[in-house]
Amino acid sequence: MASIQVGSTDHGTCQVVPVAKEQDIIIARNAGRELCRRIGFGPTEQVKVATAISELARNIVLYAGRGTIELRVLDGPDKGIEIIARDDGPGIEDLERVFAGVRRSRRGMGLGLIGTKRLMDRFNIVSKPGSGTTVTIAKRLR
Amino acid sequence: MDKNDRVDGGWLERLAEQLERVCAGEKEVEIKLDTSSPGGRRLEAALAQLVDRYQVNLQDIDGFHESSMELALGLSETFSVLDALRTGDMGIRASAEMLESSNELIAQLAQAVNATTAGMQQRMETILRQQEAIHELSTPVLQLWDDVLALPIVGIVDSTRTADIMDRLLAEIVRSQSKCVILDITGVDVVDTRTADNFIKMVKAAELVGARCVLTGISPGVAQTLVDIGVDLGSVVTLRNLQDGLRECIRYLETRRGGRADHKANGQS
Amino acid sequence: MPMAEVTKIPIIKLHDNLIVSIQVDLSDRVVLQLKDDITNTILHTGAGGLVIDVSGIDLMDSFITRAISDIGKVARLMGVETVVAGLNPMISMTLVEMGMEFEGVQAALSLESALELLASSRSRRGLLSSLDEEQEQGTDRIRTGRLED
Repeated sequence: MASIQVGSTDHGTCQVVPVAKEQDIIIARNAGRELCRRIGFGPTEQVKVATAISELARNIVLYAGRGTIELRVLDGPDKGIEIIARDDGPGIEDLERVFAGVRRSRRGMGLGLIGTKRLMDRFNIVSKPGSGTTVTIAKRLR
Repeated sequence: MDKNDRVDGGWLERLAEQLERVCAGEKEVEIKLDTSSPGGRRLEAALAQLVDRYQVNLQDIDGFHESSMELALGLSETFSVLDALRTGDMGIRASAEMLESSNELIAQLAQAVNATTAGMQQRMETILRQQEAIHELSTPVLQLWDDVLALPIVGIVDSTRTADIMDRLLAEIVRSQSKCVILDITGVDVVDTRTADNFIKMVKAAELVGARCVLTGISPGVAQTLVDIGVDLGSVVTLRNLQDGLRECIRYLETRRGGRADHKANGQS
Repeated sequence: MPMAEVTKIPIIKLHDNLIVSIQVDLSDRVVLQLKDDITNTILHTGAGGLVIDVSGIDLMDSFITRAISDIGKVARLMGVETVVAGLNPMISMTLVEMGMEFEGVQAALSLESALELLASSRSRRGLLSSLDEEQEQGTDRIRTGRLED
């Protein structure tokens, strides 16, 4: 399923990719990579952002079943990219524990989220059991 | 003209305006010279020269006639180019007409302006190239031996520098297919948690790509700090200096080649 | 890279080693299939080394990293050493920044140096004597100062 162009918001161009199957992970991260390239990020940074998107998209597929990845160009003095991963899944019960026990959490989503946080300049997560999860990440152009 | 030698653009504009008005037939003009800046004083000198050459009394409009129109317009254009220079626009040039002007002084002025912009552009490019060279020299990746790269690090290693060093180191590892890297930090006096982390990152990144790393040149002070702040270098091999590092790399490479020879000896090759 | 519906990643046998070249984006199913195929091939061929060539991969997240680590661990349990070859610098820097590592596998610059690495480590030490060494020295490479440990 192709991604939907939503058009411009005050933040700049915006793109929404629905995520439900494994193929969508690749679509989302390639879209992110291309957007980064257009914004002017270097190749290594493109890979970093695409990897972060891959993590978030995979979490959606694995734990929520379906959701969306929104890609936004950030204009102005802090030029860069913003990504919002949303789902209406079961939510994460103990956010703090997920972020604390890095090494031991092998099968869980913690590793991916922590890695994502480390790759980006901005990371924010809102998740409650029963209310789904929203992860917002952003990276500035240097 | 350089940054400290600014000519007030507003004044230039006004002067140009006045000159055009004279050529359009105005009988009275007022031209004030701002001599508070070195640029203004130079212009004053240039104008004085002009006045001299063409026997023009700026106060006396009778001295101005149609053939001086060219002079006035030429001056006006020159001033606007100079003004652009002032604002940092390196792309502006005096026009071809000005250069080919029958009015020799205008032509000279135009040439001088073009030379100045070209000169400034060149200087800026040189400075940029020098900066890049310094940047690279500060952390060169050296091919010490077949398959052995050395990276002497000097000074402070912040995250921007780390990213740049990693970029160049990994690219060089892959390009030269070097199996060993000696990271020498003799030139690093001060380490904190962040710096130690950065070194560990460099080592890990190089190893993931397929090179083995040795850390050398940890001074007593740095060693003590690392222990004090509780940094665990983990499985990073550390040796005293570059020589020891090179010796170990060569020994290690021999081991790997030796294995291959054995492999061949077993009849499988 | 496109994802085929049923992708079987070919396993090449070269003397005593197995070579797997990953070109496509791996899905859960393909990974499981690959793990099965590798373990079966190890069993039937008695191979001693495995090379996973990742030079064709342009992005790795925690999933694929874990998958490769798992393959390495499973192979080791069956007596086979695994080397990951040709990881590209950008992925390497990304993994390091994320704090992710491969566990149970070594890394090499290329297929050729991977094979050389496998050959040298097998001939250099018998498996049990290396256990003695490991016990003696633990994971403290700093003491031994030897690159191959």
